[in-house]
Amino acid sequence: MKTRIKEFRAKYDMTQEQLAQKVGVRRETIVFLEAGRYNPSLKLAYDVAKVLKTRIEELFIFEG
Amino acid sequence: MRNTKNKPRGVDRDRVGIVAGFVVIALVLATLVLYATSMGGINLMESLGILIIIVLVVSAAWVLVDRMRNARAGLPAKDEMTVKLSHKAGYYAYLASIYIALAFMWYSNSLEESGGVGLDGGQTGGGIILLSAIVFMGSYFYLSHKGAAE
Repeated sequence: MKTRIKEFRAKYDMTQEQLAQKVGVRRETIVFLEAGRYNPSLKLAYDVAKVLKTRIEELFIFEG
Repeated sequence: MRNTKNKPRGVDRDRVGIVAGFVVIALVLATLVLYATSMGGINLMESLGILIIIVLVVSAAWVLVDRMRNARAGLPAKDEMTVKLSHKAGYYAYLASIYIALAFMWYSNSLEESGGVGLDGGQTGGGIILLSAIVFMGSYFYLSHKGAAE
């Protein structure tokens, strides 16, 4: 799975730690999410999308 | 969205958990020191057991320090990813414990067949618990570096 979290984070000039605080997860979770090495729950995906003012399908790109 | 000015939910509970973890580590170390000093000499099997306990204590301390760092930064000590990693590592440790038990039974039988004394219940039980704990910690560290995208 690819994500555009980094791109959206840069758009809002937000650090990984700030995003982690807003979503209520550890910074490592954001690192893994950005690297596509962790599949989030629907709730976490929704929370991240909400903080980054976008939709889940724009943030997470599922590949086959 | 959560208000960032407030502490995330569960931060106080996380801190209590971290302190409790350090207390348990201190108690384990104290017990280990008492055990080692009360024994006259320590044989190879006992030293291996002590070594495994020390490895487990160091690993647990590393996890607690990591959690403390997050708690200090106002972030939760655990989240859905760490819970998922724990469950996965626990599953691997459970599977490993079955094979470890079989290996201990085989080893004990082969000791008896060669004329020696087989392992008693305490040695077998202790060995299974310690080795399963090692598998759990090893899996947890491996998965926390690799990620949990399945």
